[in-house]
Amino acid sequence: MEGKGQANDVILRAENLKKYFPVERGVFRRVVDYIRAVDGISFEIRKREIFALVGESGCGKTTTAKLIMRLLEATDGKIFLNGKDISLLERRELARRIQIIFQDPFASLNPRLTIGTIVGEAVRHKPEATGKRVRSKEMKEKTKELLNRVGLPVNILNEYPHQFSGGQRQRIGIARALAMEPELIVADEPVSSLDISVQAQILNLLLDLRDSLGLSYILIAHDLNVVRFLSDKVAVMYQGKIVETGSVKMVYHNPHHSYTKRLLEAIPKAEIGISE
Amino acid sequence: MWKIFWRRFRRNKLALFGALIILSLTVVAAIAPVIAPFNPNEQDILHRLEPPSGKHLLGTDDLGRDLLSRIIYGTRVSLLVGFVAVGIAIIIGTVLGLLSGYFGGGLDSLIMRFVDITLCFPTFFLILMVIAFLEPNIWNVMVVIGLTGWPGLTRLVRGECLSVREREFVQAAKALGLSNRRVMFIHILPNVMAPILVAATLGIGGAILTESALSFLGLGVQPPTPSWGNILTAGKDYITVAWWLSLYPGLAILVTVLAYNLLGEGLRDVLDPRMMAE
Amino acid sequence: MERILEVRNLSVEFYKGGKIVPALRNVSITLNENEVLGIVGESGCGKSTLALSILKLISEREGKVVSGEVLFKGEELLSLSKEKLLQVRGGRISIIFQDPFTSLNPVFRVGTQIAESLSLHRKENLPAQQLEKEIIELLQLVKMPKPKDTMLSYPHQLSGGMQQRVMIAIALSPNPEILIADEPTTALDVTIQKEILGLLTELQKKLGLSVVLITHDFGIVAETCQRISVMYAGNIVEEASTSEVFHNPLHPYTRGLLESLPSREESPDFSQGEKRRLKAISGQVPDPSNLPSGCKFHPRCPIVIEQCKPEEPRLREVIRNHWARCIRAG
Repeated sequence: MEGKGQANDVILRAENLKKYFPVERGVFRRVVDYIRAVDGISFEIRKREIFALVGESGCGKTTTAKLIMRLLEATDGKIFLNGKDISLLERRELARRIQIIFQDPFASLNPRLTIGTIVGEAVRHKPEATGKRVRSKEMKEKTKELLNRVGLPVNILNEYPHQFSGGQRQRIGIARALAMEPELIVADEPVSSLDISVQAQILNLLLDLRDSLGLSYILIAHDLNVVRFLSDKVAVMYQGKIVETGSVKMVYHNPHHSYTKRLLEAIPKAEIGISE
Repeated sequence: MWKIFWRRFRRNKLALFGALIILSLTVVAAIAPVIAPFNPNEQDILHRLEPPSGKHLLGTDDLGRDLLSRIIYGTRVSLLVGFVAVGIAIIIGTVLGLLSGYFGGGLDSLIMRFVDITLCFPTFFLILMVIAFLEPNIWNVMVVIGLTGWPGLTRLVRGECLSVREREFVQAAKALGLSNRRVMFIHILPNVMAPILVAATLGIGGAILTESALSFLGLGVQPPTPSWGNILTAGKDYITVAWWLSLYPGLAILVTVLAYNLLGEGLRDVLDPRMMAE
Repeated sequence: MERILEVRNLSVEFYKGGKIVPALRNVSITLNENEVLGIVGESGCGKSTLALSILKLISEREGKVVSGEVLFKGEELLSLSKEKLLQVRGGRISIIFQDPFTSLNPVFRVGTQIAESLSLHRKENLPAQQLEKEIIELLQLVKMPKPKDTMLSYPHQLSGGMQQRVMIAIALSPNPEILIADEPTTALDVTIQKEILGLLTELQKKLGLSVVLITHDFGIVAETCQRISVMYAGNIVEEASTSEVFHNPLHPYTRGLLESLPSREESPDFSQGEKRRLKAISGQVPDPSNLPSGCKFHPRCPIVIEQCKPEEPRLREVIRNHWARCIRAG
């Protein structure tokens, strides 16, 4: 642990994080090898910072997101939230501090539940200090407030996800994440499944929320344009390791690692028309 | 949500047909005392083994009892057995299936081995053995059929649970810090319902057949309480002289089981995966 | 330049949930020989339907062509007999789709699938050796690293990029004149995307292909296409050369899309933590079964006026060779 004064505004710190998946063969399921999905990564996220993890498929960024959320347990290494080791925290405690927005607005909402339940159940079941259950009316009010905050009409509590468009569903997912009043939000490809015009709306929303609620984000993405637009700092992942870290300005204008350079070069530029 | 289901359901002729028949049967069973022309147990030895006539629409049996009335009352037995037996199987099967699929690991292995063992026994003979051991009556029959039905359902539910478990909204629910119980029953279960409903509907048909067979063998519902199966028992001895005693209860079983099968098949078409797409 | 493919006033309807939904409304596009035409639009605009309709790939159960014609070198395709159409399909006009994994049959080896395409479109039955030689040549054409090994592999043994190369090989095996590529790189990583797009561009030049490239990514069209058609709500709203569209977008929708791209260079004056907002288009894409009156974009348009509401504007040539469906363009 570092000296307290300096690292005051570090909200999340990962230390040598590893996640290996065993490969089993044979009838007796002998472990013959490991898939090193995350192979010893370390990084820090500060308050109000938007930190991005970029890389192509299989680099380990999604696994990292799951480790932070403790949807998976790390094979090795530690994650500290405000100085506390998250493996020592209770599931509920963690849920109050870190929340997640998913990529697929169609799969991330339970098709059988109403919007009111999807967004509000977290509110209702949030462990209050007094252990008192939140009353139904309060829950409705809180839910409406959340929907308002994400730019949705408030009279949709009794509707179902399939009645909404991708962009609207993504907003619902964001409202759900905000219900727990977290400090850090893990945004796993939050706009990749959305149309360009909707993408812009959601990106703006994420920035607005950061400013108004003082949130930090860890953005998992493969679209480097989105990353450049949204993030303050970026870490490039390749085969489970972080190959380069730095502020967005630095990494994009002056990449050091060869993989980073390849990634940046591969982005199609939507700037001038190149006609033959 | 249900509107879509309903609209699709309406369009599927077979399912509709099956549902209609079942509905009619349920009504018949419910108001049996009202519509049965005679008391099913009222004997009239003078008029035994009479063919269908204006007075006894389906004829009489060997003790002079009106066949139509007995068949109407028999509906009650069949439907009751169907629902209760399958109900038991569903409850046990669903709970075990969810637990198995959700938690995995040791619990899963344990439950699955249990399922495998149970499935090794030839069901019908198991039932015969148990009934022979206990007293043959309708309650025992229902419980026993239910207890032999759950393993198949467990496997089914477990499979569905495994695939639903990985879907993002379940991950989201866990991320919200919701309790395992809530995630299993409020989030996963409704999404697993579809195949359960189909299996249950088809299972009711099977349960009715089993009960009929048991009653036929004398190990199910005991006379004088009418069950389609035990009417057939009486019928078999007089088959050459009183064909109606075998035909009509047989038809009743046929129609009922067919109706459930049609409904089940129809439900399968109507429910997933297209439900998700819409 | 000669027009190799012309779609004229094509209208297609789908049957969805008991309702009739217009997917394409009077769409006309032109593909010139040796040209790469980009069709850009968001989900629901009809671009994939357009691709499928050209080859009459919409099944009768799903929908139907209500009106319009598709002219391939002057020959009308939609009214062709089944036999003739099958010759055109895959033989003279090929199509590749977004997800190569689902387009390839998982139980057959790659070589077998390529062979199938080769044999189908040649009139003679080729001897096995000859077939194998051609397959390897094709795989080399698409820059597959180990052609012989690939030939014997099953689809799941190949990476996404390699699968897409196989798809391209299959599509090019009969030496088609036109290639339709429907979101060919959307499912691929960005470095692989670059390779595949590079390959397509190279092949296009080498083989003298004419290509229709369908995508939602402006970056891709900027780098590969000479002309662009922008689609919205089942209809073309702007059509021009690539540089025209980027430098001088006439339709407010095109303008709005370009402005909502996050790829503009970050101004060096912004301090850490302070970020600009994107100029997003408000609202969302209309439900095809419930389109607004008049100009379909008017509810979301920043420069809408009363005349936009009653009648849908025609596609007009505002500047030479630059068409826009907007009464306020130009």
